[in-house]
Amino acid sequence: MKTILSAGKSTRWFSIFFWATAAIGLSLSIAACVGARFDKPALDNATMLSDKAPALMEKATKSYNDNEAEANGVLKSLDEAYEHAAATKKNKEVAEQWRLVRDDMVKPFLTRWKEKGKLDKDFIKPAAVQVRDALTAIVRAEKAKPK
Amino acid sequence: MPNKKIEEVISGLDNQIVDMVGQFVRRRKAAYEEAAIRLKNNLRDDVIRYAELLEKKKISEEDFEFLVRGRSAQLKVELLEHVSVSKSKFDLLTEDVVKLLLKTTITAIAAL
Repeated sequence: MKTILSAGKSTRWFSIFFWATAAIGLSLSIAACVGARFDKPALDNATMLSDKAPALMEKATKSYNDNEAEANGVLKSLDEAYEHAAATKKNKEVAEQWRLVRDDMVKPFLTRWKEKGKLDKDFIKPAAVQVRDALTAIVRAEKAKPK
Repeated sequence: MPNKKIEEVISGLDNQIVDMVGQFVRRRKAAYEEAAIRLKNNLRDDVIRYAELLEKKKISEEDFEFLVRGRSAQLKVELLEHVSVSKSKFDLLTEDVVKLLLKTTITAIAAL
């Protein structure tokens, strides 16, 4: 009788242990799938660049040489933003957003400005709007991350 | 059997989880359709605007091509935003599922 009671007790403890382990294991495996968390410095950086990059582009009616230091500063900030996003786990979409803004939008514009010396305002305006809107999309993506 | 009881309790969550996922998928589907149409229309409108600038000789052909390529890159950035936001929402959903599962399991274990 004592043996039967003891066996029932150990089965119960085994069951509790089994389910507790299963619950912890499941929560850990789902937690591993969770994406990047809200990142205040990344949001601040995106907000800062969404003002700074289009403002620099609007100066392209003037000489590139006069604005070269600022252009290099914006490119450096874009490089840092990309590196930060790429180094953040589960953040590949945002990293790709930064790469597109840097490599397919801002860099080609600055290269063109450098080659031509000055650009026309009818070209600059829509190009600057594109960059502003793209960076605003990154700001929205950063804001949507779970806190 | 205690594990039978827990199994029963966890199985009882299936409908709740299916409902949560169902709500999320329906919302996401509608949002994707709406966003895709909005983005496509914006792209079309902008390309027409650039073509008008070209026609009026306010920009060169090279400028026009540059702007269309830039607009296409912007579109990709905006599409990635939707993927990222949807993933974030999915993260919140999985967290809710985990919380529900943990709460129910722990309650069931405590009641044994």
